[in-house]
Parts: sequence; structure tokens; C-alpha cells
Amino acid sequence: MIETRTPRDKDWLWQSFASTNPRRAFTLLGVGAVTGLLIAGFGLFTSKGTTVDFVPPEDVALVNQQPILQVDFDAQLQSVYDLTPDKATEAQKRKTLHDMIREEVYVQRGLELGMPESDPDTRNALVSSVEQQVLADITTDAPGDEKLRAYYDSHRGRYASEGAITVTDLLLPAAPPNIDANEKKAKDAALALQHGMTPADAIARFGLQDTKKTSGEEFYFAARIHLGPILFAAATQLKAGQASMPVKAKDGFHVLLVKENTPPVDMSFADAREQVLTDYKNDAEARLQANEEKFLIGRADILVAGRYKKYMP
Amino acid sequence: MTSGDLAHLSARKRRRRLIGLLVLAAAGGLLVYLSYNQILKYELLAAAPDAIAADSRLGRFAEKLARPAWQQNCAGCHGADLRGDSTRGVPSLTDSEWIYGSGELSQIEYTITYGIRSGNPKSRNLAIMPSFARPNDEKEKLVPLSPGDIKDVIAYLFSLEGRPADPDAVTRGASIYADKGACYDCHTPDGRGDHDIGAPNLADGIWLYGDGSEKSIFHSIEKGRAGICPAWTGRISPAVIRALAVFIQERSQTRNARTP
Repeated sequence: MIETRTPRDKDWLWQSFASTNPRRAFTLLGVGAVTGLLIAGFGLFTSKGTTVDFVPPEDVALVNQQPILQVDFDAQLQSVYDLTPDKATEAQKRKTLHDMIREEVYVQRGLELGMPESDPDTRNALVSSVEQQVLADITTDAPGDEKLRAYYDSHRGRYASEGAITVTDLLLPAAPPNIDANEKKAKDAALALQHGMTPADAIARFGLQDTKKTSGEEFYFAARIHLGPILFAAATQLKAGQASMPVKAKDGFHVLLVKENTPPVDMSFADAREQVLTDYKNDAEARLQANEEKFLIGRADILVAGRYKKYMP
Repeated sequence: MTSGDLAHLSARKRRRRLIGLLVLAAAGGLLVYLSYNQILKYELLAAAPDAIAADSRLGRFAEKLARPAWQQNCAGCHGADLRGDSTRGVPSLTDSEWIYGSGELSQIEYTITYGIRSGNPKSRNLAIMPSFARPNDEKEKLVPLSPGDIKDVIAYLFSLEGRPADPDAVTRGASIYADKGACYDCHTPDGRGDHDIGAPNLADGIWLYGDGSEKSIFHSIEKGRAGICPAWTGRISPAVIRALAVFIQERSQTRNARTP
């Protein structure tokens, strides 16, 4: 037969937890509540309620509970003295610690004085830091090859080598009374060049001028800038050794003679992967930045003067 | 109650006590294990960098902490064997070449903590390799190079490594390297790089991108480079970051060169 005792048996009440005891439950509940209230009260009514009295091992100091990280301390030693912590002297470490504590207290004082509201440099640095912080997640998240390949496929035109061209631009100047005559002369010159006449002979025979707009082999982007879009487009249609028909421009008729032309070559995904990753992240950053800006402006309480309301985006 | 009942009751009590004791012992063991781990973490973080290598107990603990963290966070780019991937510009961490710093533990730890061009304000982000097949870069104050210029610079770089190259092209390339191309500004006049800003050594035959062929170097100069490494601060604990730094240094030739 199992032994039974009544709750009135005080010794038994506190020795056995096999059965329910309302008095014990309420007593423990009360003790817990009072302890909780005491801890909360201590935290609430004393300034040291949330401080700690030890320095975590990853820090070298706490300045008003703001940590100075070991890794930053080591980097400071490296940048100031070009020494690793093992090789720095005691004096150098002391000076570095002093400098870092000084910086921290000045930063904290700057916040007390409201520097972010008034100092343009602080404001610029803050804006830049927040922008970068927003982007940190994207930098950390490494998109898989599947995502990058999809991006590459949808932006194929971006991933090609830069073309290169060696082109000579020969000009036959033309003023209003002689335009028709010069056009024929330019055509004759172009045909002669197409049939193998050297540029020097063409210049001598037809009165052409070498504009010297280009200099030897150039990347497409440079040739485009030097020749202008119309002449560049005409030049890139030609193969090595070919001459164009005259291209009419404000200053006369241009005949383009191409010595070498290496058009851009599409890059394979493997060759372009790094560039694809950069572009993918840049696009993601731009989207995130726009969303962050929208969110921050949306949650801000912004009042704009009536006369400026039309400028509000 | 019969004597059989009493014996049965007593056996049940003993079994309960035994289970209770086992649970208590397991909880106590777990507590000791966790406390010991915490103590080791504290020691790992508080130890001077050289002391970690000398203390096999800390070395083993760092290895234990770092291995799963490496697999989870780093192996995706650097590979499980830390050999990187030169087709993607991911450096091998097993050689003696360091892009940033000289392989000191504190330098590796800084790179892991804040990353490279990671978006963290403290990340390593002092220089990028600009693209020279672009119009004038106002920010970098650089002029573009022609394909011929780039080929000449490559000839000069080959000569730094002792590879065969056309002497005339080498002379022209040296001039471009030291003047128009402004290559010397980051890679230093002798081409040995500047590890403070992450400009690689161009004379040691170790290529971060590609295989060191003319094609791959041409691509780097033409398109530019700017690799990234994420910042891990706030994502993994300082103890694991330090353990990873130990893990990496242990496998590099820097550490091997120092170990007698």
C-alpha cells in the first residue's frame, strides 16, 4: 500500500515534489516575482544596470561600454608602425591604446554635441557608411552559377571583348561650289584605294588629306571617339585592307582605309563570370539602394513648405 | 502490502534514482564540456598570435572550430582544399603570396572580419585594377591604353618573370608601365606589388586571375579587376574568425616557412 500524507504535514511539503502543493507553489511564485522585480528595479534605477565590468576577450577595452576590438587595435598598430602585435613594443601598444581610447571618447563627445546634425564631413561620412552597410548583405550573399548564367544570358551584349581597329581617315575637303565635282573625285579615290592604290599615292593624285584622327591600332571605344559615330560605323563595316566609299560630312568627303579590324568577340560565361558577378551585384545594389531610400523617406515625417511641394518627388 | 510488492517498489525507486543520477551526470558533463569550450574560446581570443601556434591544445581547438565554418562559409569560393580558383580570381591560400599583408595572423583575421570591398566601412578597399580599354577615367586620372600599348606592357611583365619577350616591346612596355599606364603607382616600380593596398606582385609567376598567358593578362588590363571577399563580422563569432585565421595560416606556405 502506498504511503499517503496530507499537505498539512510541513516536513513532507518541502521534501517531496511528487505531489501538487498550492502553498509551496504560491511561495515559490512569490519568491520568483520579488526576485524579478528586484533585478528590474536595480536595472531601472541605477545607471550601471546594463553595464558589464569585464572586457570580452575579443576586445582590448570598453569605453563607456563601446568596444575597441582587438582586430582594430592590431590593424592600427600595423598601419601606424607597420608592425604586427608580436613585434610592437610596449610603448607602441600603450600609445596605440591611448590614441584609440582618445578617438572613441571624442567620437562619443561628437555625438553628444550633435555633430551629425551640423558637421558636413560627418554627415557625408554617415551617408556613405549607411549606403555601404545596406550593400553589405549583397556582397556577402554569393549568387550561384545558375543565377549568374541567367543574368549573363539576358545581358549577352555586355560581355564581349573590346574590338580593335587600325584605320586611316582620308578627307577631300568640299566647299559649296565644288561639291559635286569633289564627290566624283572622292569616289574615284575610293575606287582606286579599293583596287590597291597606296594611301600616299591617293593623297598625291586626288588631293586627299590624312586627318590623323586615329593613331595606329585603337580599341573600338577610342576609334568611336576619334572618328565620330558615323565614320566609326562605316569603318567597322570594313575588313582588313578594304576602303570605304566616300562618306559625306560637313567638312567634305571622307574615305576610310582599314588596315586591321578585329571585331568584339563574345565572351563565354566562364570568361565573363567575374564581370557578370560584378554587374549582377551592381544591379542588385541599385535596386536595394532604391528600396532603402524609399523605405527611409516613407517612414520619415517630412513636412515640405507649400511653395516647395511641387518639387517633392 | 505483501513483501513482493515492497521489493518491486524498492526496485522501481532504485531504477528511478539511477536514471536521475545518469541524467545529472550527463548534465554535469555537458556543463563541464561547454565551460571548457568557453574557456578555450577565451584563451584563443586572448592569446598572442604566436602563442597559438606554439600551444597544440589551442591549435587543435582552433582547427575544430574552423573546419565546419570553413566548409560552410569559405569553401564555396576558396575550395575545400584552399587552393582557390584562378578562373574566378579567387586566390589560393596555400602558397606564400598574400594580396593583403604578409600572412600574419592579425592581417588574415582583419581580412576575414571586414572583407575586401565588402561594403563594410572598414573593409580593405584602397585600390582597384582599372580597365584601360575605357575612355579617360576622371576618378582615377588615367588615360586609356591602345591594344599595342597593352601588348608592350605584357612583354615587360614577361621580362620581369624571366620569360622570353621581344626586347623592343619590353623597352616600350617599361616606359608605359612607368609613365602613361601608371602601373608603377600600385604595383611599385619593380613590379613586386604593394600588399598594403592589395596590388599583387607581378614578378613572381603567381597569377591571381588566369594562367599568366598573354591572353589572360590582356583581359585583366583591358577589363580591369576588383575581387571581393565578404565581411564576416556579425555573422560568425570573433572566436571562429580567429580560428579561421589560424586554420588558413597553418595551411599557407608562410606558416610552413616559419615552422622549423
